Amino acid sequence: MSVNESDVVTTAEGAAWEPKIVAFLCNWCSYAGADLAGVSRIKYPANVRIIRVPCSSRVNPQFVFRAFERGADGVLVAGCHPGDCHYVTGNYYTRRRLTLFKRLLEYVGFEPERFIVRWVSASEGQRFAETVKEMVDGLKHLGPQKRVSRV
Amino acid sequence: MKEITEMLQQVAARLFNEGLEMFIGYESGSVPAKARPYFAAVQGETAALVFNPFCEHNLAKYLVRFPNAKTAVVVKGCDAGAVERLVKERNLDRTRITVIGVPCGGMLARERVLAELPQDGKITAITDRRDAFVFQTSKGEHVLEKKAFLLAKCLICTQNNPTGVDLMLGKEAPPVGETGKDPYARVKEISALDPPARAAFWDRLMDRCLRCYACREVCPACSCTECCFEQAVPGWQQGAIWLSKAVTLPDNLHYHVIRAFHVAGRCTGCGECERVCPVRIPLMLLNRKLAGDIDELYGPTPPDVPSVLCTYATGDRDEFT
Repeated sequence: MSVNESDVVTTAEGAAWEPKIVAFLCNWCSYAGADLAGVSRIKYPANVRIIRVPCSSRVNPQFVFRAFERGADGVLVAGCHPGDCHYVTGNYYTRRRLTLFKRLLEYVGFEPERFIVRWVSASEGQRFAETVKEMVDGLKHLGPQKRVSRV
Repeated sequence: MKEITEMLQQVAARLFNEGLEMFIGYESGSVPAKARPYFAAVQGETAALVFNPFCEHNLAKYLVRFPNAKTAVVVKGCDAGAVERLVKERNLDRTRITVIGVPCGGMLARERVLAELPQDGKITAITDRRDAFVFQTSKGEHVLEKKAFLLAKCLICTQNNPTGVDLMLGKEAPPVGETGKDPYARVKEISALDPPARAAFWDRLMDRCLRCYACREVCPACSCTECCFEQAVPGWQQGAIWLSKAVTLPDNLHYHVIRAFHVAGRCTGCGECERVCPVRIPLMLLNRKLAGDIDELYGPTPPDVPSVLCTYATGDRDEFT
């Protein structure tokens, strides 16, 4: 991916800074979606570190905080579209939980771009790639997450 | 206040005759203008019970300490929800508990009252005159306007008469909260700031947290026997703990955000977390934010559901698409 030179935030060492994204992907839809993006050879930034979870409702809000503390600049949670959950109702709970949690995170001072939840189905490789691209652009604009990072 | 106190003592004495084993109420503190929780275990101990505008504690959580005793507890309007919450989550056997409701004319902020009263005056009587409390002291009479001396939480109070009680003492109190006061006003102010300013606001507050966990201990919604912030088993047997015990800003922020989130939809708004905080972190700002969002997004929770996050509707608002 090419970026404008002026947009690149450089670290103290002078190397170009790249945002780190931790992505929690549901095994049944979003992980397969990311896989599809790969096998379809869709280009998307390599900033994302994927953690596979059985269901998006497995994502404890504490995981999100932990990721930020361990140096993530952004966190993505992706799951099946509501109604398509492999476990029938998991993502409905996720939707309630993470809607409130995202609002709370923003309330305590995290930028909205830092925490993204997206529904990505197994056939939406393109959408996964676009989501990551969007996030990387947003995070590059924001710069490193230093507030709670320990690294 | 004298009548309520007398009624309280009479009721307690009667209940002990009927086989009560523990009465949880208030007694006068060892310093002026202060009350403290009081546990009467026998008939003879009921004479110390009082009720006055310094009984700000929520006594509901003490019920959990007496799981097998026949217990009575005194509740104000803001505490009644806590008993209900504990019963709903099966922490209490409602049949063993007698809930005694007292009409509340608002609770006074101690520091402000003490600043107003003469230093060496002894408070002999307090009367509630609807818009003011009249203090009889050994140095004369003092009228304290409620508007100026009530606790902040009482000024936005909507239910000063408890509901769902077994026994109500005295007449219903007239509303205490100021009409037209928006309980979410401060939340909206903070939400209107831009992210860096919001972060600065919260960092300043969270930085002074001592992680004494008083906010958790006192909370009637925080009733897990094993808390996710400290697990009972040591070493390798331990499950994952996602939060370090270190008192640092990231950990404090993590703790408070998750604590508030864990009681989301279950918080009864009693404000005890804020009252017990030794470093005065306005924790209700977090709880109220969640309560406001839940109200806006999901409306009232059906009575048979333990919490708003334990259920869903297929038509819930989707902000993620």
